[in-house]
Amino acid sequence: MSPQILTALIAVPLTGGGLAVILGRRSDDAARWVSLLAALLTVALAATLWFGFQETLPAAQGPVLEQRISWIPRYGIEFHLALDGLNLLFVILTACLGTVAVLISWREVTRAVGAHYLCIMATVAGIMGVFLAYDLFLFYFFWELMLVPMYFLIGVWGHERRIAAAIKFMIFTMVSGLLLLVAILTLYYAHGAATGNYTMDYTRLLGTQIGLSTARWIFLGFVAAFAVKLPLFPLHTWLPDAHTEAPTAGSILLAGLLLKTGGYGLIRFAVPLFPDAAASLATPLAVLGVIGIIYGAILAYSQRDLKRMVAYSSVSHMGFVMLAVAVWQITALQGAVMQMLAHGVATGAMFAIAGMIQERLHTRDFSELGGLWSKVPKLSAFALLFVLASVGLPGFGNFVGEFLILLGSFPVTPMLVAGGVLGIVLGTIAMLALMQRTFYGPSRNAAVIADLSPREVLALGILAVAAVVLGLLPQPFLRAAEPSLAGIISQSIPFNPADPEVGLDVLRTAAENTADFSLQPPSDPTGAEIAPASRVPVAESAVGLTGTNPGVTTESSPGSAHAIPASARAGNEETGS
Amino acid sequence: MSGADLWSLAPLIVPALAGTLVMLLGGFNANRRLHHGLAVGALAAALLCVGMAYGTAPRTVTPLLIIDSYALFFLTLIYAATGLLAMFARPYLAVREKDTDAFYALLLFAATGMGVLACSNHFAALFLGLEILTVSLYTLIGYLREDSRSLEAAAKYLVLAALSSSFLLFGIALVYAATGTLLLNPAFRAIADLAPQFGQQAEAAWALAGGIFLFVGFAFKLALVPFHMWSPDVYQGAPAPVTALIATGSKGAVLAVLLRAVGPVGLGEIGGAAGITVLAVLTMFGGNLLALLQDDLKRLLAYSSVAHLGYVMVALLAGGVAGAQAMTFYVLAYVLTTLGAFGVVTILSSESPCEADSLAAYRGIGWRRPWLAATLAVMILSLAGIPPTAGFLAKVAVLGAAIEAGRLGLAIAMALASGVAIYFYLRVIVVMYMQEEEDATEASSLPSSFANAVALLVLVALVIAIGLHPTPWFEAVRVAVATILPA
Repeated sequence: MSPQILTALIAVPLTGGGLAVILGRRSDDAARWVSLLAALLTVALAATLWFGFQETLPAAQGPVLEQRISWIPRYGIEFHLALDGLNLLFVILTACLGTVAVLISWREVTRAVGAHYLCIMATVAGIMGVFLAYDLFLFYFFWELMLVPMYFLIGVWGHERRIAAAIKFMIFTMVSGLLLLVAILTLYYAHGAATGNYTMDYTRLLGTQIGLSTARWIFLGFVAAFAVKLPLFPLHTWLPDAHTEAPTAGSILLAGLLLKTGGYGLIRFAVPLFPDAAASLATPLAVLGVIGIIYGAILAYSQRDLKRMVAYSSVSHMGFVMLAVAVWQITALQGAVMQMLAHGVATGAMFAIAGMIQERLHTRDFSELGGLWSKVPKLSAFALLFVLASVGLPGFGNFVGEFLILLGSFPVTPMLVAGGVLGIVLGTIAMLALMQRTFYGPSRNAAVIADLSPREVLALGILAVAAVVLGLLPQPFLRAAEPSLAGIISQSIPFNPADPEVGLDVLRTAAENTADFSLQPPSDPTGAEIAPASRVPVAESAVGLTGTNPGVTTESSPGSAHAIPASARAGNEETGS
Repeated sequence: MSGADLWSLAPLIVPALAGTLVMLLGGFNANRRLHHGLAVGALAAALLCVGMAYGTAPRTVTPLLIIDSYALFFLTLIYAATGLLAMFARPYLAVREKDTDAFYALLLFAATGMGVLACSNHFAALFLGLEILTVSLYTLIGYLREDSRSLEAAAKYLVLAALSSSFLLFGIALVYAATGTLLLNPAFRAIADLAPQFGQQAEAAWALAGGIFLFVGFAFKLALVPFHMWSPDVYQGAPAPVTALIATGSKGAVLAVLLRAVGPVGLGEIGGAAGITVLAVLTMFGGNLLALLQDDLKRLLAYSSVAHLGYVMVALLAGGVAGAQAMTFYVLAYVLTTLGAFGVVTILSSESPCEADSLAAYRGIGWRRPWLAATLAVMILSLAGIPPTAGFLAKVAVLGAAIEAGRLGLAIAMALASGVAIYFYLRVIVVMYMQEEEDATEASSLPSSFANAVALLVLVALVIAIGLHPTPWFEAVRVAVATILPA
């Protein structure tokens, strides 16, 4: 298969968006159709990749398709895109949700339609780039690039407090992004100084040997950017505002795709590049993830606004991804991938439904909703389906994701898994409350409203099918991601745990200069402020990274992991039956 | 001086002669179009001479001036910028019904002054160039005599520029007394040699004091915190095209001579690195934090350029070839971007005699004037350092140079400072695109003058082209820097 198809995945949406603006000057419908066409073409490209690589994916640990063009040779930067099982899944998700976003905003947006579609398509293109980039600079380039159209999407077409939300979103993501940039450059120069090969190439930067204290700082720079996107408690505060104020298409892209770039970045870049640092900081990250699970669920319950409630439930769901990454064990990571795909579908659909309700009733406030089932049965049925998917009912992808994460994490850190289960219960209460407040009970609104149009049925139908397929037939997706994840895990073995201070001169000086700026040295994550009880998992998860995870059957030990552990297989088959 | 020397000096002689010609013509002929044509034509001719001078470079003409590819790089940038803003100035002056002879003559003299700065190899040439530039600027800033803000700005600039010139002059005298040379590089090298002997030798104390005076003089010209007080008032009060000149060409020329003087020696060697580090951090944060409070686009851009000069100082502090290249590349990106931003301000100020400087004047222009607003938006994104623009790569280059030099703290400070800046840059975009306009006036999508539309288009194209395909530009910068700092 021609590697240009990877560039096409980025170029097609971008071209479609450009055409939408040009044609949109004449007619709004032309802008809509050309965007839809571009989105469908992107789906077709993604599908070609999926079916084209069915045979090769399970065997390949590395990329199955690569495109590299020299871009900025002065800095060893290449336009390097690569496809493996992991990012293929996200590419498909991006293509599908892009199409749904186009369909959803068909009638909602009436002002500057062409520009609106340009923003949607440019965001989709940027996200594609983030998932496909194998060059750290290129990755950062797309990482920043996708923010600008999203900012316009929220700020121009959003709801009442859109400007504040847009600015908050941009500042959180840009500031954390700048830290990521400094971290990337530090890694780049450390690698260059050590090997004489100045490159931004991801595969070559893997295994760069950096002293633990420095690596921890760089790792935190990566984590800062990814944790804001994920979002990790307590960096989540931009999310409810941005999701709530964004137009429906913006909310779908945010919840469905942008958050996933955070999880993807952690799995692809942050941990594999700095395995030691990740191991030493695993406990605080896992604890924050579990706090996010519980905190998000509690806050979701107490919201009065439909979109805010879904937004907080996202905080809760994405906490699981952080837990899985902190545990760094193949079953959990497969769960994390499943969780991200399923959450993208289900939450995207919930935001679409919220948008449809808003379009019809001009409110998202629970005090004005209620009793919608009798008025809009089709819409309500879809809502019930996606609420059940969100709470992790067996039969939906979210169940598979959460189950695998908990299963993989339990041997490493049973206490935190217990916390996560508590969060699931709380999240279920919240989502059922949402259902109750919106669709059941007495109607508080006399307005006569129309049920779903065929276009809306199509948009939600795509997502419903996706949610069920992910739940009932997860094996193809798990199998696609597995070799890539195994490869990533096997690359992430700490290089020399016995002697972590193999420093590099350039970074020594760098660290000293940092000290000049009176930045505190990294506080010891296993230090006194962490209770002794939670220190145990640190050691264990660190051990998990070295490949002798005590709790899981030996065939799943990461160094030699090529298959899903038997326990996980069993779990999947149970789900499938 | 031989004929060949004169040919090498042609890039400086052409604008000077043309300025004199415009001034003389003004006595007989008040044809605006003619003055404008002469000025733009002279700058184009000067650019042509720059191109020809590449053949004879490097060439030292008298001990004062050196025409090497470093100087020619900056001459190209300065003349191109001055030429573009001469184009922007035409409708601006026309709508205000001002005489134009003096304006274009002074603009050409200012260009000459900046050119001399870029070529100077000697303190005398440095001072000469600076004075030609600033004396022209005094008058240009106060060109709108009826406007009290313009006059206030001119008075303020006069006092502070004169003060900074006297600092500079005294610094030169002390350095000469200590080192016995007025050639830029030998003088700074001598300071670097003397600095460690502070307390043992009287000359060392003079040299250090001289170095500090010199730096204060430069800091005034570049508006580094805490010597930036003049800059927002002057930016706001000066006519928009003149503001553009102060923000782009004059900063670029001063930075060119600063890098030529200090770059080969290294700031660290001179012994001022710690102090200048503090100054750079203050400048980055000060500029960006103060910009948060502004409701006037020209003032906002003034504080933003204060902050950008702070980033340039980071590159200078990083030092070495990488630092010098990053600094030169940053100046290139900054000049093009700032010129584009002020170009839009100038064009919007050309539609009525009042200056389009308050942010309220930009409300809703995103939908009313899509092309102009898109131009300004691209420039703002470039200033904020967001891809795919030149400003982004420039920021990466500076951060990279700082990290490579082991100045990680400085790099983090710069990253955080540009994080602060995101807020006020976004405010401009919010005003343009996200706030409803109060009174919808008639929609006219293109700038009034075709030439200006093309000029803006070229700037946008350059800013994005550098952001997407920087290799030829990196190469040009590498060649330029190699002449002052052999790798």
